[in-house]
Amino acid sequence: MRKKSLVYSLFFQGGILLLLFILQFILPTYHHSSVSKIMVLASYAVAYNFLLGYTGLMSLGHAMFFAAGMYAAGLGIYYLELSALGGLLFGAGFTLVISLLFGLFALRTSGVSFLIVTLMFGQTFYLSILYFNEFTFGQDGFSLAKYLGKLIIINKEYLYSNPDVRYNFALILLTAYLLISTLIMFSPVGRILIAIRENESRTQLLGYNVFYYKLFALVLSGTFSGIAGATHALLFTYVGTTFAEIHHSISPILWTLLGGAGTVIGPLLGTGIMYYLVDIISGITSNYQLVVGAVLILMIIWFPMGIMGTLRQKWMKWLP
Amino acid sequence: MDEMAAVELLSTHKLTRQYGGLVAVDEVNFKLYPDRIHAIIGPNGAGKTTLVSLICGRTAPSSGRISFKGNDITGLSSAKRVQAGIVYTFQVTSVFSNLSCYENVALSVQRNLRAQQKGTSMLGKWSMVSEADIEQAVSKYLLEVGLEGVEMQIAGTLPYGHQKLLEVAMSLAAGPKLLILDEPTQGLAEAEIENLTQLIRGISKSVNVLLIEHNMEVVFNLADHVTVMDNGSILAEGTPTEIENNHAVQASYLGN
Repeated sequence: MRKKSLVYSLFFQGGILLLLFILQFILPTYHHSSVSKIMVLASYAVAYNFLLGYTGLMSLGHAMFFAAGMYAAGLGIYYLELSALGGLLFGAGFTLVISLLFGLFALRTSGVSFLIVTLMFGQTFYLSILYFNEFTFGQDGFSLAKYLGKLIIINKEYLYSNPDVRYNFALILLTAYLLISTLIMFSPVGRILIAIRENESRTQLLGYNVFYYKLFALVLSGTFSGIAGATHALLFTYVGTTFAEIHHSISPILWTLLGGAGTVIGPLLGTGIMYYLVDIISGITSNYQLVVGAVLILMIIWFPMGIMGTLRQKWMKWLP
Repeated sequence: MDEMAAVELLSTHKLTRQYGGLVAVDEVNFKLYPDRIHAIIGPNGAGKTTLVSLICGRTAPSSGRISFKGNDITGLSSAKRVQAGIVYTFQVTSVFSNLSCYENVALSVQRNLRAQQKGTSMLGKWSMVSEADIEQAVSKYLLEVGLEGVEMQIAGTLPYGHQKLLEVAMSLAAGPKLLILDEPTQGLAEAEIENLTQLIRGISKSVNVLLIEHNMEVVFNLADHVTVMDNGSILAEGTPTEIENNHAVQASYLGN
């Protein structure tokens, strides 16, 4: 029964990823680049959903992880002359350490206190980047274009910012994230994480040390956010503080809730819709946030479980 | 008495829990011997639930010690105590109401199977428990409590009596050495009580049962040994017949 559900959902996700693969040959340049961007941001949302949707922990400081990965990769390439892959690994390692330390500290709290602690950490990280501006280039950020080498695939050289490279790297990242989170959610560990979301104290009284499982979820979510940030730095060759700001912590919450928290494909859908919504509305009025806010309020009134959450409840019970 | 010679499974030493000025459990020396159904009775507010909460680790004691199978467990977390075999079944059902019955029991089965597997070999230590084994065990426990076939149902949609049975299945699946049942018959209909009484008697053949119960008929029907609590202390102990004939108990509790 569980196996059937796993097979269904892998096929479902496989179909969507295949569609995204094919789209790159059809899409006009502008949308081609938009979808690349959406896929990287959606990977960040998938990582975020792992914590919010499946473990039930809401963080208001995830931009810290995204930016930590981005800055570690960028600064590593800039100062230590790392290769692109080296930068990516450095970013991943750095966020792994950061999220572990952060988790050991923040998971002593829960509920609203946890929310506040994550917010404080996120802001501290953001302000630190500004404060050490001689090292981090502060508010201006910096471009990596000159420092990134070239990517060699079958004797041909490509730039990392080449649209096709960008699109396919983003697709690989998203595929890996979806696959990993699906496999985890269908594993015994996933079952425990869902139990923690549903009733933490009962889970403890079934003999599970919930602290370790929450720490695992947080470290995985944080590190994956960091890798998404590092990938963003490589593919868009820019590192900047906007990715450490509070709004970049709130965005994945909105994407996840819109698409459906606790569903595997929800974050991708939410990110895509929100990206295009902002894109279209900002072409009409500069006050796009007003419209986005209104849409979100309507969503929460009619579809409190998000798009995929509602679909799952009504028709697609097997949806992970 | 021969019970003095037997080794106790669980004992508390001057166990105390205060809530502000209220002493809910007052220097209680409680002993539980293996292979019999032990019941705790007493009026509301006597400290029964607080005592078992201290035993299973949901509540931390203000002072005193608890030992289980000869080991001091006072400092262990509730999760560690479950792993040691002290399993608590809630007074108010506390199943995962949004998850299927299968998931509810699987969650408990999974930890127990994993713990068993860890002991076997290096390979067992690192590999995951197979879902087929979990499925088999879940069916077994659901059958044992008489809930076969409800696997796919969402636990919250079950009738109340069935949720209680599901709760018992979850507890059994955790592999208890000592099963604490907190007012299992509360809120159940007469026929359901009869059914549950038989179930508990069956369970007690392989698992030590500690029962907190208000329904005297159930207590006298099931228990081999009864502890009466009042005002946070132990008022009397003995066989059901001894308790029935105890004047102090009659005055404070049985009311006749």
